[in-house]
Amino acid sequence: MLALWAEMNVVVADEFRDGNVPAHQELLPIAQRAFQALPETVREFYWRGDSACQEQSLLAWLRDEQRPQGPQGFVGFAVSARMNAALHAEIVATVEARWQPYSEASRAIKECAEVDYVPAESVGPRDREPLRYVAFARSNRRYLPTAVR
Amino acid sequence: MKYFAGVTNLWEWPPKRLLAWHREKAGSIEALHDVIKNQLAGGVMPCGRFGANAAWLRLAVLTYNRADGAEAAGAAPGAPDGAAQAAALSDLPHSGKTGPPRAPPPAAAAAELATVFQLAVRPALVAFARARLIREVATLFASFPPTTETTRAPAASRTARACSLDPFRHSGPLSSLLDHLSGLSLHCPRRVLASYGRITDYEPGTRRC
Repeated sequence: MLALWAEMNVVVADEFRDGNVPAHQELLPIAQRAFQALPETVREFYWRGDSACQEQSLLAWLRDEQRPQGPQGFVGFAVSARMNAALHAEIVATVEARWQPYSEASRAIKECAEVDYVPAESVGPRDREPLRYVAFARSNRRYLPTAVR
Repeated sequence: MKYFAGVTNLWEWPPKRLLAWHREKAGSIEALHDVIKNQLAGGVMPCGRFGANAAWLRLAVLTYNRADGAEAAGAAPGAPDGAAQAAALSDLPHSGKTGPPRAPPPAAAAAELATVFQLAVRPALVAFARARLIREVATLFASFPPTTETTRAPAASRTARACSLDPFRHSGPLSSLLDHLSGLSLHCPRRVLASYGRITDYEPGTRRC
């Protein structure tokens, strides 16, 4: 497990794990070490990661502005969401008008949209801001078959 | 149609900007994994012991943090196997030495070593620089007055004859010191004959320093 300070391209925390440890296990200590390794001159903090980072304790720590063993204040984050049936149904049900073009490559059309998905949260204060879910759709271009002479 | 989703607390950012920023990790952390695994051998564990493997990964990470400076200095395009390996190789002559931790920005520190990194990956340049160095050092030491001290040659090279760099071979303690610095290659290349341990010079007609 590696944590990278992206702007400086420096690894700020690393942890060697056995091969049979799930990727989402015990991420909070690594995140804490990573933020502690940053110099004091850094004032703005953001965190991004893959779907392994969608873990309750880590996200709760990032959302808490008085977080223990970490920088105080706002930390913006965006992590990949694990797809589940409810989220997938919500994405599919998103109205067409919400979808915005993301990019248009030669072989794929990519779009993004905000999704009204608010899952129940078991931990944390009730009055905190809910999380925001953003969907990304990728569809392959369909080419009409060429006429056979 | 394939769907992906991201979860965030950044409500102000438009979806496109948010996803673009999130997907930038493919060029940072994923690239890091690529270098660690494929260039610094982090993907191949040395043994079956957990602690040794952990140390192996830590070494690769430390090397990556050092190598990034070389990459910033532009040594990467000249390196045959990537900047990480070039920087790792450049650290070899300095083993046992410690320096200050890497300070931002990396390009400032690496700029001083850019020439070394380039030399480390270009054998032709190294040979040229070595030839220039030998000539200039020979000129420098030729200006010293000759001493009467006897040269103390290593036992293995007692049968060796002096090569064309005579000012070195007859300058006393410095000469014996240079004899030990075989890595500098201040002498002509030698060859080992059939009898083991007997080292001789090239023939006078074939000397090339």
